[in-house]
This record gives sequence, C-alpha cells and structure tokens, in this order.
Amino acid sequence: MEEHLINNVLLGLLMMTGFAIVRMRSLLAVTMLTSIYSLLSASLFVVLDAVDVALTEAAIGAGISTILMLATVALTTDEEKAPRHKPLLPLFVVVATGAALIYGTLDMPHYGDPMAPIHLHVAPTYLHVTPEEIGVPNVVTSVLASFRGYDTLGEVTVIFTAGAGVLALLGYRTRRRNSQNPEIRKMVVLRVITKLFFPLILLFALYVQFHGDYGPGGGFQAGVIFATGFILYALAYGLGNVQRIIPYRTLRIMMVAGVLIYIGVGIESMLLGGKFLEYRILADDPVTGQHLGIMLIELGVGITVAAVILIIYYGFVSRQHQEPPEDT
Amino acid sequence: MHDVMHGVLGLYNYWIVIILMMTGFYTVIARPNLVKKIIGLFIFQTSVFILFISMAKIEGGTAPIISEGARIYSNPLVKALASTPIRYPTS
Repeated sequence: MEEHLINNVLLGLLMMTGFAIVRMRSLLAVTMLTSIYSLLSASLFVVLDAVDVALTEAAIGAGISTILMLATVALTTDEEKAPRHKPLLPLFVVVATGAALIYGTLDMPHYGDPMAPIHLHVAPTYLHVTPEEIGVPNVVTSVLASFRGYDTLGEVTVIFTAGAGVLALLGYRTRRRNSQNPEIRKMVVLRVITKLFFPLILLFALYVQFHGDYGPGGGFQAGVIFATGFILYALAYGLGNVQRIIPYRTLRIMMVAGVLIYIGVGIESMLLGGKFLEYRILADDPVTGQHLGIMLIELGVGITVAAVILIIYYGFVSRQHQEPPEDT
Repeated sequence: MHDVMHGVLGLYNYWIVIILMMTGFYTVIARPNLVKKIIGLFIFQTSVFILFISMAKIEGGTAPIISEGARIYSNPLVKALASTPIRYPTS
C-alpha cells in the first residue's frame, strides 16, 4: 500500500515538474528543474523495482546531462525568447494525440498484474536459466552482458561513435594556463568538500563496476560515476589539474581500448572454438567462464564510457574559455 | 464504484505517462528554442521508460536480483531494454 502511495506521489511530482519546465523561460532554471525531474524519475524507478535503470538515470540524467546542459547554456544564452503567436495548433495536436493514447490504455493490463502477457513469455526463462547457466545473481546484468551481449556491443560502439562525433564537431585545444573562474577559488567549503569526496566517488565507481554482477550497477554506471568524480574535481580546482592526472591523449586511447577489450573477448572466445562472445568457453568451468566474460566486457564498457564523457566535457570546457567571457 | 476505482488506480501510471509524454511532445513542437526542444525530448524519453517499467512491475515483486527469501521478481528483460536507451541522449 505504501508503495502505491509513493508511486502516485512521485508521478504527481513528475507531472508538476514537467509543466513547470514547459512554462519557465529562464533556461538556467529549466536545466535545474530537468535535473530534479531526472532525480524524481530515478526514485520512481527504485519503487518500480528497476534499480539498474534508476542508477543509470541518476548518474546520467541528474548528473552528466545537467552539467552538459549548463555548459551549453553558458556557451549560448540563458533566456528563451517569448513565442510570437499563440501555440493553438500544437496544443490541439497534443491534446488529440493524448486523448487517442488514453483511449488506447483502457484495455491494457492493470499495473502490477502478474498475469499480464509481458510476464508470461521470455522473461521467466531468463529468471530460471540465469542462476544455473550464468551464475550471476543480478538478472539484468546477465541479460545485458551475456544473453544480449551483441546489443551491448552495439551500444558501446554507439557511445564510441558519439564521442568521436563530438570530438570532430567541438575539437579540442590545449591550454597551458590553468584558467579558472577566480570566484570559485574563494569558495573554501566547496573545495574542501570536493577534496574529501573525490576519492570516495572513485571508490564507489569501482564498487559499482565490480559489484554489478551481484547488485545494481555495471560498467556503464561505473564509467559515468568515475567521470563525474573527475568533472567535480575539475569544477572546483580547474580543468588543468585534472588534465595532469588524465591527459587528453590518454582519454583518446581509453576510448578505443574499451571497445577493443569488448571485441577482444568475443574474438578470444572464437579462437577457443566457440561462437563470438560465448563466454562459457573462456574457463574450464562454464559458470566461471561466464563470470570472467561478463567482468571483462563490463570493464570495457566502463572504460569507454568514462573516457567518452570526459572527452565531451573537455571539449565543452576548452571551448568555453576560447573567447573572452561576455557576460561577466 | 469499486470497479471504477480499481480501474483508475490500475491505469493511473499509464495516464500520467501519457501526460508527461504530451508535455514533452508539446515542448518539442511549440518551442523554437533548441535547448528547450532537447529538454522536451528528454521528458518524452523518460516517460517512455516509466511506461515500460510500470508494465514490468509485478505486485509484491522485488528487483530481479536473485536472492534468498524472494520469490517474485519483476520483469528483468524490460529493465535491460530500458537501461540501454537511457545512455544515448547524453551522446
């Protein structure tokens, strides 16, 4: 019962945040509201038993997207112009589509119904087979990394391509000076807390990376959290300091290395006489092989994701200081 | 009366999802500002995840991590499905 209540309240809050986002004109405020929206939906995912999705949403939506969006707003303008005419046609389209969709929900299976068609086919098989064949408690990880390993390879490639695309569009310029907003230097609390939290965030990222088989998490979430730690440090202490730890060139190598580790696991299993990404060949015991395979490809995913996100961030920030700031 | 209440509660998640979806859709088609359009897409996209995950929920179930003492698990496949596309918008 409490679960229903929490679910309904969170959905109500999401709706209100959504309306506020549409109405507000200050893009800075809208970005912060989007972050809240994302955090609310992550909480909702926890209530709905989707812990892996929740972790991803919290790391990506509330964390990285917000930072990138803020960077975009800082590069452009933070005021949205008022529309010239009343949006009657879009309003009509939206209401009509919405009404049609609501009509469509009327014969859908009710929320929480265990006999809904979605629960009767493929999913039970995964739940039954996972403990014996894969030996990984987290079924979502076993589906993502083992049963549907090809999809995840495709996904890593997409992320890699996106990183390469951003690189091609934004470019990157090295700066010798550690230019940083002098205002931030005065924020002692922020700097001290950042220094305290930085190692903890990295430790947490490693935990999420290697505990993904047993609990919520995995390579993707870990990569994002890892990158977030460095971005936080860069925000408080300037990009130059972070670049001394992870230079741009290392990131480019990491970005490729992750994808290569993934493909390498696939080729290794082919060399051992199995099919592409058939992990059970990797060790004498099939279950150990599955464990090893999943761990390695998650590592590959984590490395690529962390590198791509940091590269995008570097690209944005190196661009930011190119021209003299206009609004300060 | 009880039936109506039951129906409303059973479909409540989907209706909110549709409202959110249309909010995002409206932002995309009615606002000229590109940042706003992207945020609209973001709202739309999240609403699709909520739709999927609401369908995956089983009453009394728990997260699909095999453990002792749990017998009903919510649908793991949908979660795997939903956690893949979350990753694209950043890129």
